[in-house]
Amino acid sequence: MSSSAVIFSLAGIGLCAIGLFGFMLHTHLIRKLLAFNIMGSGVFLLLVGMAQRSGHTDPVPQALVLTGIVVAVSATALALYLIRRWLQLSGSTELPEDDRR
Amino acid sequence: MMLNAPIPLLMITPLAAAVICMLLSERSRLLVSFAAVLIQLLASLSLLLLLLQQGPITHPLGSWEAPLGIALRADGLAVLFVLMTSVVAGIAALYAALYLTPGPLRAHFWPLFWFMWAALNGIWLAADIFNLYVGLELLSLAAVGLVAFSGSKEALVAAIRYLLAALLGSLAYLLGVALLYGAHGTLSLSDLSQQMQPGVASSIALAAMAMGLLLKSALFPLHTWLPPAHGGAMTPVSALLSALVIKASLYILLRLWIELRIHELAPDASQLLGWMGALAIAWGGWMALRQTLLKRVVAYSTVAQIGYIMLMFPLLRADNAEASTLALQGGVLMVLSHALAKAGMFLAAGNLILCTGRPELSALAGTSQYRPLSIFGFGLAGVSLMGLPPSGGFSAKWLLLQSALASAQWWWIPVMLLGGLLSAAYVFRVFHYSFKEAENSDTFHRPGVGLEICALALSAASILLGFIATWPLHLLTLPDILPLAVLPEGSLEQSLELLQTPTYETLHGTSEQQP
Amino acid sequence: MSVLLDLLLLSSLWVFALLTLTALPLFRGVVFFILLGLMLALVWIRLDAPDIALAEAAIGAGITGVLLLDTLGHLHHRADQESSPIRLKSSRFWVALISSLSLAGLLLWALLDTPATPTMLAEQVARALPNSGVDHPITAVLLNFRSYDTLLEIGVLVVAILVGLTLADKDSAQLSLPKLPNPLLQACLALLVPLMLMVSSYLLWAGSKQPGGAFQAGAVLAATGILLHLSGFRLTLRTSERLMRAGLLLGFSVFLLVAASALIDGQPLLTYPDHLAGILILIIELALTLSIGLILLSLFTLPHFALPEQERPK
Repeated sequence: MSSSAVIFSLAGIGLCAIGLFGFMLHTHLIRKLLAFNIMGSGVFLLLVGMAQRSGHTDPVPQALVLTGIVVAVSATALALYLIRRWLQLSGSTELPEDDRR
Repeated sequence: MMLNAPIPLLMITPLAAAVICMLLSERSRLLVSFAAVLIQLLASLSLLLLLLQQGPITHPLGSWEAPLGIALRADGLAVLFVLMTSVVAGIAALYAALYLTPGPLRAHFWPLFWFMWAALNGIWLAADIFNLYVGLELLSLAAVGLVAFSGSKEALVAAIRYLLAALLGSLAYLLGVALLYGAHGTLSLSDLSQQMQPGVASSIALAAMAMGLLLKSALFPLHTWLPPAHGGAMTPVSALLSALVIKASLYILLRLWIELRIHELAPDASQLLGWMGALAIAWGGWMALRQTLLKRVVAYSTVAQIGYIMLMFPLLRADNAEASTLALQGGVLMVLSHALAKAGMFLAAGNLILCTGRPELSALAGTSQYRPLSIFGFGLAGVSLMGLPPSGGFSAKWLLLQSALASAQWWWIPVMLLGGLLSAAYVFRVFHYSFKEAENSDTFHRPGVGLEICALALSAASILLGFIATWPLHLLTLPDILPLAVLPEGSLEQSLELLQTPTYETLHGTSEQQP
Repeated sequence: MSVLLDLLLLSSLWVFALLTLTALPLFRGVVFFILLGLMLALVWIRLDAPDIALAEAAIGAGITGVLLLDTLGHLHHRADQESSPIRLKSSRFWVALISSLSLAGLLLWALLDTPATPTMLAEQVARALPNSGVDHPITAVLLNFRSYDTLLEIGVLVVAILVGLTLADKDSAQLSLPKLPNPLLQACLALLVPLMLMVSSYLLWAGSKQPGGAFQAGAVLAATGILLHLSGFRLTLRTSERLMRAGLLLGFSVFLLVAASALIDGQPLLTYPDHLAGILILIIELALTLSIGLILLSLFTLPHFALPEQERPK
């Protein structure tokens, strides 16, 4: 049993929760994006940590996380394009009526 | 040679078309796209033939067997969705070619369109839960790009909302994948369906995945991102989003539900989905009635129709094979007929907006007098959405109704009836506006004949589906994806035999008696 | 001892994550985010995942951080005014808190309830490794066993750049940043750039046997480009558009061609002929490195051409 894997699975769970909290709390779009990335890192940690608790390294989830990191940076870049364009058009970093559910 | 390998062709063609479109000049993009649409149609037809000859096909990518490698698989359900995509996206592509004026806007449409199509095919054929995640991300980002690319303020807000919802949905799905891998050590869907043991981790994993997928499918109350995105995008994009893109996450949900036997293990979750669907029907229909913009009416109608599709889940009962089969057939037919009807309706709405030059409903006054063809296309799609015979929507609702009776869940019946009434109300409301007298004579623009034909073809196809409903449903039995192993051996065959034909007999027998 | 270190890392991860979301002004939040990324790189090393550590440092913290900081540069002062989001009276706060706590509780439950078993997939990878054409298991998974995922993932990257191009086309206003005529900077660059290119090539070459590979190498390549860009050298999409586009798409196209070439032999998609697997993977990685480098660089440089001049601060 690998204690590192268990500890970092826990860390991953914490990051998921903190990320979700930030994602739901903030209306500022860049903060939301930061929260999304934190949540993503949490999921990646959980993916590898949970699979490696027996103490053996597993290349498959590690490869999946590499794929996930590239997907996350693509999504972040795309979101930043949209946010910048929105900022340029409206001068705001929040969506209109974001509080209305 | 190539047509012998329809599965790889269905993936390679759209990806290659996307790359080539990015490298070529605008005019050549159009030509490449037409050629690629043609190849896609041929490939999906040849896949259909292959399926009918050989049964379900598995394609081990890189020649590595799952779970080490990733397999693509084409069973009846997957092929149905591939065909649906080819028909709807093919016609939408034609519409887009005519609709978008030459310029950078049109040039940018094609690569995004092709990435979207590649992602859709990838999802229909996928048999690996992580690969589905990558497919979902490709689909979402391409779809967000398509919403944003007109660059207006409204489009940007809609795109950002859509992106945030899609990203959160994907992460929830990935979280589920992480837990499932941690608990079972495999990503292959067929492995999972064999090894899956009910347990805390699996339940939480599937709940997370389901939440993510429902957010992406915009099921009430997670629907708030949909109306601005679908209503605000350019017309061909709206059609693609409502008809195809939201179906991807619903399809994955259905696959998980059936193959991982969630309908057996957690009937309460199925009931919950059903109730969310019922609320979606009521809320979507009500909101569609209160909109002032034509395309928003159509977008809220999508919110309601997703609710209908969700009604299939509580009716998939492990203890009732007849009800389950009817529910699956009804649900899938609902997806197909909604894809055709909603694409047709969005294109018709786009034509009407081209006629009047304004997006408001009130601008429609006089259109039915001067532009009856555009209104006719809209109404034809409305017939299917309302579920009037003999449309595809009617057959779908009829199957769901029968399933509700067979499994003694009568409470879904008033929900369906109420939904039908609401759909009728919002479709007739549009008609009401169009029949108003216009002050002066014919001041409307005339959309091109090609645009009208595209809209009419899709709407008519949704009606036609009601007449030929048996053959898409026949594909669902290749193989019978509902694992009915819980039943005793003999009764299984018996009930299946009973089911194959009589269902449609009763269906059509009764439909003729209706006025 | 190592448990203590791990616990220290865990708490620093959580603290940095919380600071990222709460620190005012936003700039400090982004700095904490980058620090979080660097911490994560350490965590990945502790988890026996040096490949991810490299990627996390280069892409997760590096490129994402640069993109975020660059965006902050565009924020107007009034847009940067952000009140503290934690208002105990707002229902939003409580809904968010309850949701995140219940998520943590559920995930904890799932973790504790699942026994730790060695995964059979790791064994399968080890057994198939000799036939994969490379010696490093992660490269084998990424570019052979699960190469289809990687192909689609490059597609995702291309879509991001595509959307950037679409929005950049809205304005044709081209921006001219002043060049930095700083001799010291140029001397540093003359030293740094070749070094970074060497690191990039090493990472690519190493990838077949040990941690490293196309993504990490591409990220270093992109970092080199960003450095050059910031010091006034313009290597962007606008300079020679066709050529640049071809460069962006090179990796994806080569990958796609190799994938499809299997069909000629009647093999399933993405099958490499046995004796050619190693060389084909190397070719794909070379092309991917170049394209990933260019794409990541363009993700950064594209918006500089999207904004009309007056919108830029200073």
